[in-house]
Amino acid sequence: MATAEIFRALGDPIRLEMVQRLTRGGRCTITTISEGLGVTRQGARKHLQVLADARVVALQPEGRDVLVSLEPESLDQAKLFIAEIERRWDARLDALRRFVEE
Amino acid sequence: MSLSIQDSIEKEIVVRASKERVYAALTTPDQLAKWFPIGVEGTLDAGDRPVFDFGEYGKFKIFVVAANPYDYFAYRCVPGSVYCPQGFLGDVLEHPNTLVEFTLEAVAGGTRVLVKESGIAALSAEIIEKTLAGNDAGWSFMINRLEEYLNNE
Repeated sequence: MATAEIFRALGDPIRLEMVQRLTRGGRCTITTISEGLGVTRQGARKHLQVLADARVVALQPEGRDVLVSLEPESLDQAKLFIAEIERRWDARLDALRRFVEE
Repeated sequence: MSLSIQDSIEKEIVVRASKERVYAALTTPDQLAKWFPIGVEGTLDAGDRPVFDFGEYGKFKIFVVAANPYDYFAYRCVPGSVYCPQGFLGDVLEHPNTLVEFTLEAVAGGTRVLVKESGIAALSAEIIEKTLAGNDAGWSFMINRLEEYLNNE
């Protein structure tokens, strides 16, 4: 349960874009997921390894390429935490509004 | 840390009150205690380390980063701590913390209050787990919020 690691893994624009591509569905390999991101294949592999270490993605060799898939459970945990912080601020700002408008 | 939704969250509301009124609600200990913690020990000027009292959830020392009337108020805290019964009275700056910033802007009929909490990505796994584990009471509400969140992506 290393949610902090998940946040660190996602705290990079290239890795975030990779994950967003995965959430749109479809088959992704290292080749397709790094298309147009301006990274070398080796660079893409390193980014994906960070995501794999945080269990955000799973990597599965397929011929000469590697199949990349999401591990949805990890992502849900990260989203859960963000959602919880947002929920708290929603409640606090409502309380602030009630206080200053009374 | 690059800009990404995972490291920070932003929320805003427009209230029917002046900037001066909202600023006082944020930075006057007695007034802050009316809507946020149930008590505030100490003062809320830049560099101060007051204690927020969350009653049964404990007492938590924060660090005031800036207090610029009537535009900006910012502090650092160890979050998730609202759900740590033992509280947090150590040095905030020596622990993984988040920066909470309130920015006030005058708009027609009132004030826009923008709150931003950043530094989330660097929090320890322990804090995050405690936060999630302590949320039983608000669980169903949170799930609804989560669905909205996912649907809006």
